[in-house]
Amino acid sequence: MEIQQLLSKYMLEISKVRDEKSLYTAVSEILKKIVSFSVLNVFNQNNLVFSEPEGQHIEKEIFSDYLPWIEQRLYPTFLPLENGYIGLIPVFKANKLLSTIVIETTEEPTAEVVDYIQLLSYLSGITLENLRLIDFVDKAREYFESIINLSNDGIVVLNELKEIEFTNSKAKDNLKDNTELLREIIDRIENNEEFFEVETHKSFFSISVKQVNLLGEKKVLVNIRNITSEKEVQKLKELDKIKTNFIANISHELRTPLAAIKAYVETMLNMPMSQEEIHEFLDVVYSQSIRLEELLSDLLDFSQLESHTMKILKESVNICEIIEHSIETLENMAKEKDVTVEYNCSNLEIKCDRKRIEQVIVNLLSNAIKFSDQAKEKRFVRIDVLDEGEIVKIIVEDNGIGIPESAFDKIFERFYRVDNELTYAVPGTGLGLAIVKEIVELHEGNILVESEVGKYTKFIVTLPKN
Amino acid sequence: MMIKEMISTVTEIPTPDVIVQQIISTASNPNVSAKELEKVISMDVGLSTKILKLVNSAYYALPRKITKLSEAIVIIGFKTVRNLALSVFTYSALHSKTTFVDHDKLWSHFMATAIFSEQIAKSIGYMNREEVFLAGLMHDVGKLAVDLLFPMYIFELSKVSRDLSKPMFLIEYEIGVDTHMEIGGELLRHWKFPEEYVSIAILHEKPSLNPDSPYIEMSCIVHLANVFSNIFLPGNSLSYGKPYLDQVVFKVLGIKPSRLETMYHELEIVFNKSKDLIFGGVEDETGVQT
Repeated sequence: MEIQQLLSKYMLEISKVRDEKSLYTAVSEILKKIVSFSVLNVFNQNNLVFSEPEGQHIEKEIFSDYLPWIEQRLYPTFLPLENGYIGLIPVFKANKLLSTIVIETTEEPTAEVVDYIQLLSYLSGITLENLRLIDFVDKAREYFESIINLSNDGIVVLNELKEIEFTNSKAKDNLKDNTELLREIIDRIENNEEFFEVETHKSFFSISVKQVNLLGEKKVLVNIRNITSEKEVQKLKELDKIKTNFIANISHELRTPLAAIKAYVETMLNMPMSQEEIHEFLDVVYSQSIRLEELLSDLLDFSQLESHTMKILKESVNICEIIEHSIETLENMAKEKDVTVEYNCSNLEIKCDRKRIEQVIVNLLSNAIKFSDQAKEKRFVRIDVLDEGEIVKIIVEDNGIGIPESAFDKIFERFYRVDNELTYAVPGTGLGLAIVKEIVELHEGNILVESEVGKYTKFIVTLPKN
Repeated sequence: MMIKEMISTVTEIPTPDVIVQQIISTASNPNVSAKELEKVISMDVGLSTKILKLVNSAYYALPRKITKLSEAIVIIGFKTVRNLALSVFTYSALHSKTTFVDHDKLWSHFMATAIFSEQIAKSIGYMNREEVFLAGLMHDVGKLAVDLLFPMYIFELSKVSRDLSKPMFLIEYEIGVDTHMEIGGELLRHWKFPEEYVSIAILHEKPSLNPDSPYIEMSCIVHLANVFSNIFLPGNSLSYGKPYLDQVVFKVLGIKPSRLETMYHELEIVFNKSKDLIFGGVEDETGVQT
């Protein structure tokens, strides 16, 4: 066989090679053209890894003492037997033996055969080394890919056109479950934001964005972390803190009327008093008892709020009567604070829980009085009732101290007080508006707030007539 | 006068006999079989004994002793057997006459360079290691020729090299005589060695003289082996001083200068294993201590 033929054959066979086994099949095919052999075995570190024909072994004792010698020498060799030869062909790269091909042949090798075999052992050494390198690189890639896909964080790579180039498994899940997430992230990236949080309808995500250079091209690396449970824990912690505040708050609230009642009754018991004085004192005791009752009923409502067991009993009532009654209830308080209470209502029947709606009005009204602005010359609260067909709107407006816009959502939360500290400047449990909201919502209505600090506050309660 | 021109005309220089000539041509014939090569070598009974002795030396470290030449040829290879036959011839040519030069030392330089050449080829993954071995063995035959023709001159030349601590070939350049490289090339041509061995003998001190030579890789390997041989056995080549290292080797062989250090350690191991070949017994012309 000519050298060109050998090389062409080698190129052809080697192009089919995908793994070590197919390399040996190819080498075996090429070797057949150089020297006829009955059996071919391949050893990798003393282990038989390939046989041609399959399952045929050359007795190892015949040549095993030559294997370390071959490893050192790295030349093909032929051991003469009684009626043939054992050929030992090292497959190697530079100084390193990669495997050893062993053949059994009856043919006496010529100088040319040995030359060709030497060439083959060099070429297949290079191929084998490359195969092992590819295998190594493949495994390394698989290793890193697994790590990336096992990560709890979603990883996304975007190109300069903000198109997705890569997503790991987690990111795929995140984007699939939250369809609006990608759009939101891209918008924020275009806003040059690097760290931000995105809330979707079901989850909370913390996103970090990094401009990176991957293989010479500009990319955007996006890290998506689902922090829904962290957010929940955070909320619970906040709630816990609020509850602690609440307990301190409510204790104080309960103690104040109780202390007053105790002191007045004590005085009455120990001091000779006129009938007029006794009446005056009992008045105070009575109003403080009312205050205590209110607080306790708030607490009761609150526990119903917590367990969502509050029930309403609807009946046909005149809304104006409720408002008049509420204003009467708070008459003293309004007088004390020097607040004028006006109302505007024309007879209007709606179906609602009389007691509960009165509670709503009293609460809104007492807040309006409580938070009146002492700096203003004239203080007022006005209640308007608007008949709007299917619905009725009750608007409670004052010119009090107002509520900052940032607190609009929070004032309806349980325990929340705008001052939020134990200052007790204004008494209250922080439960009122939460209860109001619950009641309004149980009536399938809603409550909105409009306000400007230092100017006014306006609560708008919308209720269906039926 | 031109020493080169004398090579083919004077009788002081031994020529390979018919058998050695045949071995050279036989081993270069691709279709030769082990039996045919064995037949040629066996014509000289002494030669086959000497070759078998070399084959069984510690350098080849064979797991089993080889007793038949035909076995040696298939086990150790056609070309290696050819190399051994030629080393027997070179050894005897070198020891054919007593001069002022220590021929054992010069021989150790020849053999060390041959062994180092083969090892460097192995280390960098160069395929034709047997050819490189032979080229290393033959690289300094020019010194042999000069010694046989003008023993006093080469003795003095070596002394100047030692006194000035300067490699011999640089002094030869300065004097303007035919260098031992040129003479060696001429001798190999005369001995009918293939052209590559002639080129390598000419380029072995400074391969960059002809960077376009088709045999530049082998020339660089032998050059590097020659440098290491002079480091391991200083003065044995009759040349002294810091060996000249041609920078072209790094580019041609694709190695970094830092590689030379690891190479030095590799060669140290090989050197210790092949002492029987390098420091052969004086009486025994195979060079194998028995």
